[in-house]
Amino acid sequence: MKERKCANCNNWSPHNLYSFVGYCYEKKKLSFSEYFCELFIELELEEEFYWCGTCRSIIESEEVKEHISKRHRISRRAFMDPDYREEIYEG
Amino acid sequence: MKVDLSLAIGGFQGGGIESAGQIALRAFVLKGYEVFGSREFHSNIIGAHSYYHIRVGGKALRLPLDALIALDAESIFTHLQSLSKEALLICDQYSLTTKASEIPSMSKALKRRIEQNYGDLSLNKILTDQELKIVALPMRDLLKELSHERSMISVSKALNVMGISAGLYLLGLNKETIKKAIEGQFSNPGINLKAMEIAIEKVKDLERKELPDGKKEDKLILSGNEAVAMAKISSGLDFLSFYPITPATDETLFIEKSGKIITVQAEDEISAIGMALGASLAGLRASTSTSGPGFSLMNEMVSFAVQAEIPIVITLWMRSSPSTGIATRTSQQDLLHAIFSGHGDTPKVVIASGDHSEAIEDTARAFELAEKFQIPVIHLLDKFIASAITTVDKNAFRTLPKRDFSENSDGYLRYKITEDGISPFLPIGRATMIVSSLEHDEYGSATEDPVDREKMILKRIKKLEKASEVLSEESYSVYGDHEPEITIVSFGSTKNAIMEAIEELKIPIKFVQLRILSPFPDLSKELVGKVLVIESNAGQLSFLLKVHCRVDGTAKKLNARPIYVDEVVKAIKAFMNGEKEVIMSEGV
Repeated sequence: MKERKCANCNNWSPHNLYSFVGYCYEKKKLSFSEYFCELFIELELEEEFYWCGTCRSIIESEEVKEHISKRHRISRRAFMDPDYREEIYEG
Repeated sequence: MKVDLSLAIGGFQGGGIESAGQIALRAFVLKGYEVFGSREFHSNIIGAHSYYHIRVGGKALRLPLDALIALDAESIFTHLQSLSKEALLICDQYSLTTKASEIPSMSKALKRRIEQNYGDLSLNKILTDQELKIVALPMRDLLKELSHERSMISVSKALNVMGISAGLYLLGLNKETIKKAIEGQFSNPGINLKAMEIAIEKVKDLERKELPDGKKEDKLILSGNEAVAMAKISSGLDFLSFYPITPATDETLFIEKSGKIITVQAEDEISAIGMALGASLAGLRASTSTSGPGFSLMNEMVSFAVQAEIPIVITLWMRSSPSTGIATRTSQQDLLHAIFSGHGDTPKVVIASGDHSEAIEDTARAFELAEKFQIPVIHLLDKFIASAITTVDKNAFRTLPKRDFSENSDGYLRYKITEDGISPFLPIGRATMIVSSLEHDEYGSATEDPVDREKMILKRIKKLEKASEVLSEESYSVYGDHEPEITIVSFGSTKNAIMEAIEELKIPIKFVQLRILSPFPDLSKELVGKVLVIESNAGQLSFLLKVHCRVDGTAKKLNARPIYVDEVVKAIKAFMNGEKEVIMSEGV
């Protein structure tokens, strides 16, 4: 069993750019990868797509094992800042 | 005391670099300094390395950097070799354990170069032998402190504010100035100000030297896109049509947001220019904006505008081509494309601006020329000017009178043969006329008659000759020494880097900056000594100058990055030592 911390929790998604911080969909707030709480649920590998924080890209379920074997940081999805569009060039 | 600083703020594309750069620019302007900020961004949407290069105390970019504010490890790796020996490096302490091979967004080419230079080592080890002043902030801990204030914050906009606040404070700006800059940047700056407080508290005991106040002036801080957009509005633009393309879109969106101008996003560039030509025929002051690939699509309509004698201003923001090329990087590769655009004999005016102030001036001039001579005017600018931010005089903008039309009279001839080739213009609807793309007689009726055809071609060419006479005094600017050893010829955004390089070299050099490229001016009297052409393409101006006069050497920028003062200095020295072709390769 993995360590009970946000980084390994099914409820948590890391920030797409800064992987040490993320968002808890249960508590609906920011938390940090090493935090833990009573709502911890180990990451469930039942989705079609995942987020690899190491590669900073979306991967398909068939690729997950390979990334885990390389000790990549896998989560259900990535969290983006609500106002990230303001920082993206419009052209 | 003259303050001259070069700094960069680097991080992830979409990670708050834009805001951080603007905060820095604002802060230095508030302090009373001249600033110039160049935004270099990757063409992917989010995640790749982007940075803001800021010059304080000048209008051109210089290397090496005096300071780097690195929001991630990739920024340190990317700019490491651009840092001066004792530069200030502000970074996240956790990023220092990173190796280049561990950064997913870094290009393979850069990883290879880093490995060749340093091996596959972490930043900690690479930086050990450097004399840099490194301030490694515990960004994660600072963010935790900030998150106690509010459960939900924009992570990127907290970390960037922390980085930039610490950086600006250590560079000598006071807390009050930084605070004002942040307040000017965000509509609801509460959490950002708290981020600033936390960051400054962390570095407040470190060595720093307070910068003196500069000369405070009430100026506008604008990007090139914004400067041109405002100049178009001020010039009385009535109609703008466009199809989105980097780096033109920000200009068009600014005009659209103003709510004052009829602005249409067309389905493609062919329609965009077609709509603008239609609006112009109806008597509106009309324009379209695009960049290289879009202008390719507009080519047939450029011919139509020449043939039908329709005034239009086409703002052509050059980017790195050919084809999609490197869409978000700069170049001057569309010079010949603009001059020789359209099929057939297509006389037109091509204007090039060297900086924001000239871009404002030339926008109004482009409308005047287009309407006076009833021709297309192509206003050449580039991505470097488009996204660079600097201060502009509030009074730089000119207001033009409404379009002037001829009196309506019986027997109106839209294409009447006149001494100067310019026919009376009435908007469609105010007189009976035929306008088409076909060769025509004076009324506008299609004709294949050889006499009419000859008359019409000569009439259209006569207009350009007339324009050439009118523009002879304004076609170029001359700077520097009038009895020089060498004459530098250039156009567009290379201007300020060349001017500063000449100032620094302190040898007799003349600089001829071309403002009008079509009709090409007579430079024979201006070219004294050896002639060096400096341009950001593979030799397009050199080609023109060889046809019209002579060229002894060229300095070219081909890597899709801006021109830096320091590489121009080196290029001039190399040319003086006998090198005929110099490639300027600075920039990351």
